[in-house]
Amino acid sequence: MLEIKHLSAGYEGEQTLHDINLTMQPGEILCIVGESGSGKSSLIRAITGYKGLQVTEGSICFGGQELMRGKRACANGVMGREIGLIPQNPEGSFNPIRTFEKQFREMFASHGMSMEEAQIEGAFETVGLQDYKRILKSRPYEMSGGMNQRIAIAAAMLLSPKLLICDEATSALDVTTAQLVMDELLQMRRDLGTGILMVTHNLGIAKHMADRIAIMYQGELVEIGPCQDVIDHPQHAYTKQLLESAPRMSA
Amino acid sequence: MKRTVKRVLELIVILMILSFFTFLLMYLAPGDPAEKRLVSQGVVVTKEVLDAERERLGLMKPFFIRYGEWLFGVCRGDFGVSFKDDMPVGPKLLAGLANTLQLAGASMLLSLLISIPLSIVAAFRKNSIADHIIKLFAFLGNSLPNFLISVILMYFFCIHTKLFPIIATGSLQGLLLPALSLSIPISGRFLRQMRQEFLMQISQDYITGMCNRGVKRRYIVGNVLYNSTAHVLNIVALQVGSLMTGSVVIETIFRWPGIGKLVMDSITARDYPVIMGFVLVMGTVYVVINQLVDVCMGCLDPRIRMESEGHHDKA
Repeated sequence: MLEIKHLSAGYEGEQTLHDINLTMQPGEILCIVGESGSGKSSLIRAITGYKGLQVTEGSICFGGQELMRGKRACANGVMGREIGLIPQNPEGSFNPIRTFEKQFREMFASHGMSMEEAQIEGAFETVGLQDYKRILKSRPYEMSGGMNQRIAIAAAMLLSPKLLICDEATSALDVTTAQLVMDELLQMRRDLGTGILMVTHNLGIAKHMADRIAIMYQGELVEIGPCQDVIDHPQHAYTKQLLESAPRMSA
Repeated sequence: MKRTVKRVLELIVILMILSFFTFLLMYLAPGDPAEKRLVSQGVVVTKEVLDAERERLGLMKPFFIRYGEWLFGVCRGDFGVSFKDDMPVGPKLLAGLANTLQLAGASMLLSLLISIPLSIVAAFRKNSIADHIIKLFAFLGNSLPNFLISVILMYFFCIHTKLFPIIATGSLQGLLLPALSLSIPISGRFLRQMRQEFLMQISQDYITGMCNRGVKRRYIVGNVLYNSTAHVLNIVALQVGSLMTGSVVIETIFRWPGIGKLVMDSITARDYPVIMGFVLVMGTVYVVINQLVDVCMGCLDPRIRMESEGHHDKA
């Protein structure tokens, strides 16, 4: 479904990704683990076609479609229905001064879908939000950061994309809501065959969710393999170090 | 309601101060309306005739009495009579104002029609060829004075191709060229300011969020426009003032019978009642437009309303 070949990219002169090779099957859950600055977010930006990031080499294919050629993913209709993104800081992802209702309507209209309130109600409940009618009538600036985050997560889920990318999406949520979101993600995979690409530095989440784990270190993909294999038999020195420090952190 | 009363009171205070200083400045400025009037009528000016004329026009009275009399008249809706031709000032100003409003309105409409679409293209295609061309146009429009533009336009459209009349006395066809001459420099200014504002909006997180949800380009443009409206209104309001008063040159070139031309003629003739009336009318227009913009901005962006009412709490 997703195929990344020899991808190198960076910001104005500074290379943050070196020769990344990665494939994902439909319905697979892949967790990318790495420390801050290891290039996890850059990789996601490359896939979603973030403007500030310049891809210097390589290709990204999604469902047979070349994403790097011509228009970027954010402009060619791939984002939303095909690839969904829950960004690292989703609280600012709605226009602060327009009502959620209008913005949801525009989102659904963009994908030729009709807005069904029951669906929205369900999605809001998944992220622990009650009283969806009141929320739809309000504007993002009237809500707390946490509320906005949850609404953004619900919005990404509502489009039921084929591949859902979560960039540290749950790190800002409280534990119970994070658990709700995790469960919902697993449910989406079961019901709709949604593939999930999850970026995290929490090995616990990776262990709980992932089919495969990929380890990133200094802009390179140093190790990738089935979840249990990577945890039981780490190959790269950094992975070993990461695994050693993990139990101490969770204890 | 309370705020409306407050604003009206503010307006009255502003107009009082404005009129007092204008009156004072004209009192201090050299030039004698009585003499100007007599000369223009071809009368041989002797000391006796001049004094009689001054007496008749009320110029011999002390400053404060003259100001008081004028103010009293204005409060009753009487702006006095013109020194130049003894016509009542009120209707004179009203006719000029109507013409200027027509010209200013048409110019503003034209400027917005030119600058909004162009600055959207420039902002959404930043650094493209289109953006560079538009920036060049903005630069040219900004640096060319409007009288030069009007002369160029006149040459091509009135003399070369004879599509438009040179003297634009109040007709719709005549309105186009003066409006265009005024709106080209304004468009230049608008383009720069709006492009900047649109770029600022595009760089906001919510645009990235919308892109990530795959929201169509036209909705994104709509959101950018919606969020920029308050700023655009502000730019427009600032320009309206200079458009109302600054169209004198264009009105003179095209012989458009607007208030700018009227006041220029009055300044030359030291026609104090007309000048005072003009200052009052313009002050009112300026303040009213600014207040209207404030109200509109509050409606468009509720955050502004909350700030001005002193609420800072967030849900």
